[in-house]
Amino acid sequence: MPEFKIQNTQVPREKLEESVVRAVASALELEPEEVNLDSSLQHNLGAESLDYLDIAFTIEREYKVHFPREDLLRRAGEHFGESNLVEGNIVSDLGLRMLRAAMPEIDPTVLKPGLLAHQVPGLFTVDTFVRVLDRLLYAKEEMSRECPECGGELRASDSLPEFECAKCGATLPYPSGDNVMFEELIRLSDTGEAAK
Amino acid sequence: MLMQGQVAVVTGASRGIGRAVALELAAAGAKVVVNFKASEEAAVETVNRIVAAGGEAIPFQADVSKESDVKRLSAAAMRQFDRLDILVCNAGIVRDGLAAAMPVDDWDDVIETNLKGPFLCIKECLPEMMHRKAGSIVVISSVAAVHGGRGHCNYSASKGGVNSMVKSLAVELAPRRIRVNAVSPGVIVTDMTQRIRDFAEDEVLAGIPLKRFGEVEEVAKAVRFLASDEASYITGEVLQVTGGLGL
Repeated sequence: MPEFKIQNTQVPREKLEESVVRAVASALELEPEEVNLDSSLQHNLGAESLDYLDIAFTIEREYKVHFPREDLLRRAGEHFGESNLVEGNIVSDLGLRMLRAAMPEIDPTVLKPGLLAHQVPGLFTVDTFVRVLDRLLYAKEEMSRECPECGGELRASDSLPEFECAKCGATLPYPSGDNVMFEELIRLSDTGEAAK
Repeated sequence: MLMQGQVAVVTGASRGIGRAVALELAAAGAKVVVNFKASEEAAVETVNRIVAAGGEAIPFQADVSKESDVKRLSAAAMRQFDRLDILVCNAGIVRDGLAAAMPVDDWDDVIETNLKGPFLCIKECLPEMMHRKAGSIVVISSVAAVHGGRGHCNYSASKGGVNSMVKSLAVELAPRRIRVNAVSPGVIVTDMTQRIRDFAEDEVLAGIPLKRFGEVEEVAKAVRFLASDEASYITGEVLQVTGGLGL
């Protein structure tokens, strides 16, 4: 299984970690010192599904990005064939291999046969959010700064996750987190071949 | 003032109850995004009244039944005021008709605007409210949600859905200190109730203990109360503003 191509944002990793730890602490009403990067959000910190959204919203506001909202495994299932990834709510061997590659921050020993699909979000760690944020910022940095409407210069909005054209005023949203992370999965070319 | 520094979005605020709510919240100090679907002139009039009284407001066109429009609406509020504290989902339509003859489009239109509309608006406001761990949402329901009536099964269903949605969301969002309530007006003097007041005034008034129709300002005051910190321990409630109709 190949690793993802390394694509890091220009924002220093330390700053991302600090922001995510702060967001997690705020959502869970903890002190930042109680939050470690390898902490399991659910098992170590007691996060619930609403907390995941809360963390994402806080980070989105600071960095003006769109965090993923969709169930990535379900979307991947639609692409690769659901039965190839999840069989009777149990993550298949192929699904496990994809998760190991897609979420390198998670202890690979917990990604073992018998894992239920709905248990996957429970495996997320604080570092999962750091990795996703890094990828989203990179995708934003990679966007063209040329307005597709008039060719003018696109500038980052002060308040919203979008570019504004300095010339015609058109707005262009930043990349969708769902799309960015799904494209990451697609990069797992040998997995794609296997799914065929 | 009660809502000084706060920002409110009021949907369907060009006229009727929505306009009264926008004026009431602005009078309490809130900056208001006056949403309208088609009546731009009336929405601008609402804004002008607020500004003339020393308040701050902007008009913004959006069809609340369309997700892309609602995203634009919440983005406009953030772009203009950089915060969002209060959401009042007032925009609503009626397409009355007997069920046996009701075009399915009339059913769909009413559900889309009256039930899906508030859901979309609430969904789009949550990132900001959850981030702040504060917020107050008020949805305009109707006495028709719980009292049967001939010729508006679509409207009744939409408002019954609103009441149920409000209670679910109140539980779901309480951990983030976001309150969700509804105001359920009875027969209020608006364009929407013109027909019923014209054709069945005596019959309707006979069922209202206070023996009169309500005024939009009376609904607006109830909304202001629920939206404000004065109602800080109230969530999941459907406040009847009906003059006692249905008791």
